Amino acid sequence: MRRALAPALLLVAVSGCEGSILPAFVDGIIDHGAPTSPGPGPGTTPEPTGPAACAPSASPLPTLTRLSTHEYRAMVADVLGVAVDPALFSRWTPVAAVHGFDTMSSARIDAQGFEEQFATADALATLVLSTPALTAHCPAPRPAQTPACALKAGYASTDDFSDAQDRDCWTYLDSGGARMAFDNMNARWRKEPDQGAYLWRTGAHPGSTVDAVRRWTAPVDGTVTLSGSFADADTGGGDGVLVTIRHAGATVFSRDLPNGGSSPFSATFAVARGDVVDFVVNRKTNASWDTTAFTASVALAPTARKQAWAWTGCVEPLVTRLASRAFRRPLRADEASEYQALFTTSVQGAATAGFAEPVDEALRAVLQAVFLSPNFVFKPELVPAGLEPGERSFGTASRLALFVRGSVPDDTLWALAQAGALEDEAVLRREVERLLTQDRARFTKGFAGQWLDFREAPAGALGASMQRESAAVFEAVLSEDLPAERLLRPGFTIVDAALGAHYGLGNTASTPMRVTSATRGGVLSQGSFLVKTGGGSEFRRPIHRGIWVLSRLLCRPLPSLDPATLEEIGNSFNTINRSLPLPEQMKLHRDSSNRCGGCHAHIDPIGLSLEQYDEAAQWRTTYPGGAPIVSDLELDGVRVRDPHELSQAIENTADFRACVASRVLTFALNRGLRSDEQCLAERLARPLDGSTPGLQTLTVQALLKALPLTEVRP
Amino acid sequence: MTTSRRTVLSWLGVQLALPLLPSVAHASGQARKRFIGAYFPNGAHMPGGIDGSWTWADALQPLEQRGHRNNTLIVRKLFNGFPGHDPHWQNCAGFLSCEPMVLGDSSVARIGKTMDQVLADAQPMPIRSLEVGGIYYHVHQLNDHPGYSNDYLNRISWQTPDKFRSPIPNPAQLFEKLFGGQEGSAQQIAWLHARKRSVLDQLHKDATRLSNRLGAEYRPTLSSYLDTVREVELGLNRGGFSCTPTLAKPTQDFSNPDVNYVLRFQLMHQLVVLAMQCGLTNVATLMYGPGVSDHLHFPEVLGSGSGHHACAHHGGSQASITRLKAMNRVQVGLLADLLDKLKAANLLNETLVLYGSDMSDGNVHLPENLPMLVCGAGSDLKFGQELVPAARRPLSDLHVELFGLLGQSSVTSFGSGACRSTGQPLGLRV
Repeated sequence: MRRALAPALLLVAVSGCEGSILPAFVDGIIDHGAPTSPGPGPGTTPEPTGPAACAPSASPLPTLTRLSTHEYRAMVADVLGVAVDPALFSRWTPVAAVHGFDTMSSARIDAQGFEEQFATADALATLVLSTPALTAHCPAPRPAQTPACALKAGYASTDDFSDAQDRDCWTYLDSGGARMAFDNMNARWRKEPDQGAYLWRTGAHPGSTVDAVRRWTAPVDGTVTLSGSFADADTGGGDGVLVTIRHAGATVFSRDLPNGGSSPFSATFAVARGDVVDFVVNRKTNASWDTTAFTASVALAPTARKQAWAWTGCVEPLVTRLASRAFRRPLRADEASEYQALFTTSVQGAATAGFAEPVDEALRAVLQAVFLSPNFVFKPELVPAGLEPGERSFGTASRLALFVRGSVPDDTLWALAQAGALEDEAVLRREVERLLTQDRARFTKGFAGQWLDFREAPAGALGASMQRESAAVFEAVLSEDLPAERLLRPGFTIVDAALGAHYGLGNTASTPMRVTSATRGGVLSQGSFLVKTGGGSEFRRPIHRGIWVLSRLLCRPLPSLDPATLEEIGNSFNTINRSLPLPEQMKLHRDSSNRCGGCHAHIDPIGLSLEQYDEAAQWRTTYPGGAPIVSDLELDGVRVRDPHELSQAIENTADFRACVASRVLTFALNRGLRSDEQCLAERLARPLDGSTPGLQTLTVQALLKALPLTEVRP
Repeated sequence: MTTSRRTVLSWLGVQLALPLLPSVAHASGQARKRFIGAYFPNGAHMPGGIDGSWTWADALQPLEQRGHRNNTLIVRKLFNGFPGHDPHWQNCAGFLSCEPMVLGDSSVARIGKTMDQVLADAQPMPIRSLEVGGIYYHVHQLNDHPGYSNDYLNRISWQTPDKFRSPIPNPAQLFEKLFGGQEGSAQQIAWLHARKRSVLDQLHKDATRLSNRLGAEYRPTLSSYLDTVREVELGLNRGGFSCTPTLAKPTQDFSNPDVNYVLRFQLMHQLVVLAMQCGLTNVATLMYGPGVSDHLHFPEVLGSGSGHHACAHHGGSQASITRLKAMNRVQVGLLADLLDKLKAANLLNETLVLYGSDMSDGNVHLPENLPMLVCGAGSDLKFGQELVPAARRPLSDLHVELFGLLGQSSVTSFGSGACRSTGQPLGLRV
């Protein structure tokens, strides 16, 4: 049996299959969300007679879209200038594709999803804090100090009292500077030889010739706050005591206590590492009745290493640079002053709360706010009034960078935007070409990786090799400016030895190399496509492949299905005798009802003509059981017997190049095509001068057309 | 009662400052106040939709063994779904609503409000509801259904038709949500909360300014962003509860959904029960796996082998059937673990657990005679028995009856279209 599938016929038939109007094939293997206002497919566009045919149509407002996870990731890496661990994004809810690309979604993020993004923003703040290059303009942080003794947030003379000198920074001395000895029997420190000078947990007694000195040593630089009290506790007589606190020799506090007198104390002052604070009890004229109750607590706030990091000169330039690049336009004055306020209050708050590095904690707050800002995660430059009038050039730069690099403008582009130079068409064209060369790999991954489904590697040990092959062939066709048709039959492929062996090619180098091949290299021979569509049951493979070819390569998405058809699909799967040869099973499926047959008459033959490739993308001539592989497709009046002939037949349709152009234009516009833009895509594919544009030329042209079309009024 | 609760807690390795909860024995007919909806994908081994392994002698054995037969009511002949909607998607997203997916735009999933969210509305709690799962997001590779968003496979809890509630997949994250878990002094932790609030305030300012700058057409997008920011802020402002576990945050690696599966859910159960015990929430949903996924194959218990979805499509292969049945038993063992913990916390008598799947016979995607259990305690319900209606009944009939038992007798109709409730009670009461 032969099925005629001439383009016109195919179109009529697929139109008939368009029973429910909207082309809305979706997800995974099948293409594209529904454009809200679908123009006629490329094939139905009447042959334009002149420029008038591309007259603008009424333009609905573009939606406010959000960054895809891929864009966000690329942007933070570019803004920070460092590698960003992809694992930071593994918990992000994937952004669904709209019009075939994940760059056009405006779907909401729920609270749990937002918490994941918050965690990522915090990890990015950590990355900023641990990247010295980003803060090289700030004062050098103070060197970390080795504590002179045990570093604690607080010290207490009573709780810390022990039988060891220097424990918890406390030393027990006489005023001659000699260390006392511990008297185990009385659990107190004693001046030797004994002359009445003692220090115990809750008090002190001066000697007849020396004072009792309890010394606290500052372990690191910082600010100490002392509080406590002295009291002459033996009220039976005597002349009282003289109590003094000295810091590094200077008197901080001194009281002459009469018999029975007492005095609280408190003081706050800066200390350097190794500074000593002495709490001294002196006998005055005699040491009788001089038992003195004493308690002191010492709170220590170590000096922050980044204490000198002020807003002006350090934090402001950092935040301004990061936020401007992230928002893809200069930071506005009101935003900057809000960030300054957030930083300033956070520094104070963090210091009060006892954080060691209040500047880090405050900077973290500002960075979180930048990385989560709607100015960053949405794309206001693509909707009206999204930018200030003075930011027009930045909008152009951003839209250009989004398209080519899936990221923020690089330094060159940013500088041109700052200079307002992008109004000049020649400069703009030069920049488009420069970026497409410099960031070809990014463009390939972002655009072709989604269009042709290789951005994520297929499963299996050879998955990454297959992904590299698809990317390398696309890059080669692009860089050599070959016609888009060469994507189908390039005449070569670029594979590593493992994949070459899998394909039966003779290359042996372990790194990917170019191998001349008449059969491998084209999109329909690539492992990424064949493996991804090869999974599932044998019955589904030709269907998945057929739909993929129709929607991805010919831009003929299948219609969304009404419930009755879906019900039939469900039922039909269960009634087919799976022991029959595959083509017969599929014929039974088609014949089971007009509803199924209407579309599958077009899907199945395309898929069956690729059956020489098994689910692992290896070539075969018979099914595993020995049954022959038969293709019964006729395209353009040409019999299609195998995948090579299918590639050639698709290449010969009018639809393929127009489809490529409409995919590029859709990606560049960041929205679905309007009807006049369908016409524009057709023009890009087939210029009026009759030339055949190369893929690079076509891409540059599409972008230069798209930039003014996405220009928004401020 | 307090004693037994403390015993459990020490078994959990937790010390709690327990609020004084009334722990009166469940009086017959008194409304229960807590609900847990628990979903597993791909059905059980139920050949041709017949009961298969869904019996006391087979998959339900773990419940019997751990003394929960009298906490379990089997309900048969329930169906869910809509003609033409693949039950993997439809009956996952519609497990707790019997509402149809609104198809057409693959970027936005929409489906009617679910039962847990109706209950959450009815009884405001510090945490409106807890959603717990085992994997961040399952992307179905060969999704050839027009208009089917993967969201339908990943959420069973829908607050409004366009507002799903993503499950938390990691016990450490659930711990943080409930108990904080940051390091530092009380003052430092309080300041970290204040800082997060300041950051959210800043985002609020940014979004408001952007919204004012753009036309009215863009308000819905930004107001849904603001909505999310506010919800996160509300989570911070909860305050005022006195449950402070000294239990350390779980530290095991749960990043691979197939590793530590059983332990993951044991910890999740522990935390959900704690949250209820602490008076943080009365409503929770548990997703033991996303729809159509191959997770739930318990390699650490059953050894490596085919995934759950693959085994459910056994195609008559005895090896697959044997493995599927083994999976069913491990799965139901997890339900027994949840009931153990509810019982030990003295909460089982005031809680109803609805446990079930999107289909019965996964081999042919049959959404009839669903494997469905109602668990709890109390002599007023037919626990320990099997309820077999005379004819097939929509799952929404069970939802409506559960609403009544949970004090929401004003909900007399639920679900829509072919899946709309009939108004006839199933007869869960004795």
